[in-house]
Amino acid sequence: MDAVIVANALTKRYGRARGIDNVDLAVEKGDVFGFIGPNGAGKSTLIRTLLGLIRPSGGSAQVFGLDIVRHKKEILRRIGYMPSEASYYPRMRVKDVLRLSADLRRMDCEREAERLCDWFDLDMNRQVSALSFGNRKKVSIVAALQHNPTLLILDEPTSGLDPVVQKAFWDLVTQRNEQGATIFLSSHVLSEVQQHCRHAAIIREGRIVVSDAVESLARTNARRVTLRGVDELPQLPPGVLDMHHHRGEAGFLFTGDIKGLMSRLQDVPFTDITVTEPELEEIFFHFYEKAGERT
Amino acid sequence: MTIFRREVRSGLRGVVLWGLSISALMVIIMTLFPRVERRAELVTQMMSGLNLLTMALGIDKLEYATPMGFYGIEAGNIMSLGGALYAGITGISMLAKEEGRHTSEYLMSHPVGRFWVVTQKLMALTLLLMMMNLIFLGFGFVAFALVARPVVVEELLNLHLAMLLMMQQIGFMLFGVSAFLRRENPGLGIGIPLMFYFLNVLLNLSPDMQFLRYVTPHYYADAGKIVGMGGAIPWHFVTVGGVTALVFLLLGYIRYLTKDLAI
Repeated sequence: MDAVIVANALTKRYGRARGIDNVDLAVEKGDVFGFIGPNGAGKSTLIRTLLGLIRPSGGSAQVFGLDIVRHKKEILRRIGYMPSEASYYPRMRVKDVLRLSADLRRMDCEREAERLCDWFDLDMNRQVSALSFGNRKKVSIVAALQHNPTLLILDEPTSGLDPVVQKAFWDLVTQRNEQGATIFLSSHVLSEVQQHCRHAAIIREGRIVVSDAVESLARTNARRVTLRGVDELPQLPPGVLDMHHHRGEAGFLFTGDIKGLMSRLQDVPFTDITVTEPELEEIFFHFYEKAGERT
Repeated sequence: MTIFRREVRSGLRGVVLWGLSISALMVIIMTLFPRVERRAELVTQMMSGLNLLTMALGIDKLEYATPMGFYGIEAGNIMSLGGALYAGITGISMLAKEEGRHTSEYLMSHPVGRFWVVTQKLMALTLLLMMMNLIFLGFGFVAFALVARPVVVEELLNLHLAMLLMMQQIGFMLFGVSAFLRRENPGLGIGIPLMFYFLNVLLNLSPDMQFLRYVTPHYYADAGKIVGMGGAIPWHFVTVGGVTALVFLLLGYIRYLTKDLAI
């Protein structure tokens, strides 16, 4: 497969402050790639660097095989970008914002804009300044999609959207992906990344902690262990994270040797035990703690 | 030319409001001329008594009781101050407003090079200032028609041309400064034109501060220099002002093309 986005040791520093640090990344054509991290981890910085809004301090990146600094315009022509919080010009109606966006691309997107506004039940004649946060977000979705881009870069796309609109959004994104568009999105909602993305990367303090297929990430050797009817736990082997023990129920994320754990639990009088694959959220925190220990 | 059209459309209301307000003042004041003319002797006597003030405003060389002299003194001062303030406020906000109002992310995520963004905005500023000066000129003719006095067309056109050049210089300089800002700064947009205006006052009062002729664009747009000199614009100083504006613009371009946008 061809890589649509490639970053090599991409770095952005704001004076002494960290933005992103030595980010290596590859997003394949046709992929749905989720970029996970809490606020301030560097997600938006990476996206803005890829879009050429800010200049990298080091490293390099290519989008569609083109250098992000030298070929910004050509790259942006094929991208649909949705910022996490969109601000528009005052005294503009929704259709003015969308027309301006199409004009800046020298394209006529009127039909697609109308279709997308219908999809999201968005009134094109309303003033953008009078719209709620969620509705402004819809405007930015339509502006990002109306020109049928081959790469969609979405920064926290569903924050502020109600569940019905979220579903409409994901249906549309899935549709576009099936038509061949590559999706690169940042999120701190792990469940949606797990549900909708094929690959994901976790970013912590500007560094990529792990990047892999979502399936593989969820298939790590980490397991969620829950014991019921247990009053006291023995000394457990290394690899126990996120331990909770309350009213006879103990639960923890275990990343060590599972046989060693079982032998320690042999003499523990519990009434029930469940060992399950953890959710992506738990893996996220697992990687977060691991990376935290290293730094 | 999408950005150019957008900027012109969004600036149109401001141009009309400023243009009409200043022009209305000019016309109202000009309607007082017949009364001044009737008491020409008294007025000339009074003006000669205000030696320092007339020198400061550069109107000591103008004849107050002639239509062009009166227009140059009264309308010229209102126009040069009001127009310079408009040029300053518009110029300083042209680029910085995108970052200040958080619209830069929307604009710059489209396939428009920064060079063209700056160029189209500069073109819009130029056109807006030309439109404003056309309003001034139109109402200048209206003012003369209202008082039914002959207009010295060449002097009037040159006075208005000098005003336009002065406003373009101030607008361009502050446009260049705008590239260095992360949000709008109307204080600078008002302060710098005011400073230029008062530097000209200082220059008129102090003959030993002649270097200020190269600093303030109000010097070459001073009605006393143009109407009093038979309509000639001091092009030497216009050229210096033009070069200064170009330097500011060049620095602004360099800065805007290389800066990280505040989002």
